[in-house]
Order: sequence, then structure tokens, then C-alpha cells
Amino acid sequence: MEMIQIVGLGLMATVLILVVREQKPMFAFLLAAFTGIFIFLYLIGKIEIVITVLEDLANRSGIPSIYLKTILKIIGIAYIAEFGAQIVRDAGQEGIASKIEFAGKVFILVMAVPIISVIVETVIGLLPDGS
Amino acid sequence: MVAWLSDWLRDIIAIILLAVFVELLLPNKAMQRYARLVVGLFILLTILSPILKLIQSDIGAKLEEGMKQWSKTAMTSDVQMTSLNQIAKNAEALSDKRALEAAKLTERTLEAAIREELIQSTKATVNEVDAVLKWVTVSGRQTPYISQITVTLASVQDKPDASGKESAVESVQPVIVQIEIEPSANEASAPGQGSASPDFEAESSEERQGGKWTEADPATAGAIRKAITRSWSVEAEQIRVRQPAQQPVNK
Repeated sequence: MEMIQIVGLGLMATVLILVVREQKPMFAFLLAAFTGIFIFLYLIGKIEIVITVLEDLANRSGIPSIYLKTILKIIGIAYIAEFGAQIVRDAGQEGIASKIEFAGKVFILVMAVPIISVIVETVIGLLPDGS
Repeated sequence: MVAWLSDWLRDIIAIILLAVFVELLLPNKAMQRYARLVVGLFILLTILSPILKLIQSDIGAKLEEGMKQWSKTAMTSDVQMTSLNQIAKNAEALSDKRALEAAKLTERTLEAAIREELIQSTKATVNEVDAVLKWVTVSGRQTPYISQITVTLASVQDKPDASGKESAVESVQPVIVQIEIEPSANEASAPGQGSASPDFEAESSEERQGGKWTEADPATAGAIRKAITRSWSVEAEQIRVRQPAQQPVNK
């Protein structure tokens, strides 16, 4: 039922945007952005269920909580970057959209820095020191 | 041994399940590559964990410390949004400042008006008018009332001397007319109808004892009293007129 609602909203918004775009491209963009934000916020609540399942899984097996935190941060960064990039892309600014995506990628990579440093330290510690 | 092995396997299975979930959750392909790298590192860490435990035991703590440092440098210090409280505080300070400016302006205008009035009605040479406004809250709004007016006159007999002989004559002594207005709650809303402050009373009596001020010339004082009473609706008994004690001052 909710799926039908979302699809209906999307179709309505699309038709309205097609009608409005000829006269006022600005309002077409606003409509698109607002629809996107609405669907995004609506789905954020649904994603929470999945995240709860993930947390449960992580808690039951002895995965360190720092792993889960990092993974959730990655998901969040990916979603926000993707969402912003799509809105900007709708407005026709392809360049800015790709920059937003690039920022998202950089942040995800920065997340990996502590892990990589730990692994590198361990590997260096594995090596026999000079003897 | 078997328990340890099952623990290890359970960890690996859990982290791989987690990775699959994450892959499903990620919005697009471009992000997936990067996320896959991080998740792959996690899987690597989990698989390596027995070796890591052999070598160094505090791997989790180290990782946590690194993460904390990262989030401190990258997340919190990044963008400092002004909080709503901060904005409200700023607005309060600004409005306080503005109210102070408005009070100052009102005081200045009032002083100019009184001075003009006195000069026109009594022909006295008014050196300075100093009005002190106090604020009272009437039905939620801050409204001013006059708490003290000090009128400083140039002495009449000194006027011709001031231009002629300089050192021989005593300098111009100001005549101070101080008006005290009794407080009245219903009239406090309008400026010009106000109340006296007790500290002003104390100050004036102290000054009198010190011999700095004496009673002003009755004619001038009466004229000033009358003028102020007429135009600012102040009762005559509340007006006190004083004159500074004569002191020789060399110019």
C-alpha cells in the first residue's frame, strides 16, 4: 500500500513537473526537489528497521561495535551524498553533482583510514624486526 | 579449542552478512566500490583477529581510539552551526543595546526641550539640563518616566565680568535646580510625570551639608519652578532650587 502511495506521488509530481516546466522551470525544479525530499524522509524511517536488524545481528555475534558504527556512517554518507547529488543533477548542474559524489567518496575513504592504519601496524609488527 | 573456533567462525559469518546488507542498502554503484573497500577491510580484520590477538591484545581499543580521533577532527570541528540558543542570546543583547540607545536619545531630546522651554519662559541663562530617565514596565511595555532633572544656570551677576576682567572675578558658578517628582503609579506611563529616587534625595542632602550648594536666588528659582511646573506638570513643593556656594576660582 505504501509502495502505491509513493509511486502515485512520484507520478503526480512527474506530470505536474512536465506541465509546469514549459512556463516556469524554477517551480518545476522546486517541485522535483520537494518530492525527492519527501520520499527520502519517508524512506529514512523504513531504513531504521533494517538498521535495527543489523544492530541486533552485530550484538548477537561478538562484532566490535566500532565496526557497526563505521558501517552505518558509510551508509549514511552514501545516502546523503547520493540524494544531494541527484537533486543538483535534476537542476542540470552535472558538475556540482559529481563534486558532491566525490566528497561522499572521500569521506567514505577517510573512514577506512583508522582500519588501514591498524592493519598496517599489525603487519609491520608481524615482521621480525631486523634480526 | 572448538568453542574458540566456533566463535571465530560466527564472527566471520556475521560480518559477511553485515557486508551483504550494506551492499544492498547502498544507493548506487559508484558508492558501492568505496563501501566495499571499507567492509572488506573489516572482514579482513575479523579473519585476522586470532593472529592479531596473538600479537597484540588491544586491537579493538586502538581502532576505537583512531575512530574517535577521526570523528573529532573530521566531523565536529568541521562546521559549527550557530545554535538557536546562541541566536536568541544575540537577539536579546542587540535589543538591550537598542533600548539603551533609545533611552539615551529620549534623554537628550528631553533635556533639549526643557532647556529651550526654560530659556524662552524665564530668560535665564541655562548652562545645562540633565534629565535622568527611569524605566517602568506598564502592561508589558517598557515606558520611561523622569526621575530627576538638574538645571545648571550661569549666575546672573557674573555675566558681565566673564567677558571683561578675568582673574579678579570669581568664575561663573552654576545654579543647580533639582526637581524631584513623587512616584505615582498611574501617571508613570507618560514622560514628564514620574517619581523621585530616594538615592537622589540622600545625595542632595549630603551635598547641602558639604556646603557645596546653597539655596538659589529666590526670584530665579521661583521663575524656573513656575516654568517647570507649568509645562511639565510638576508640583511646586517638590521642586528644590539650589545654588553652588561661592568659591573663588582662578582662570
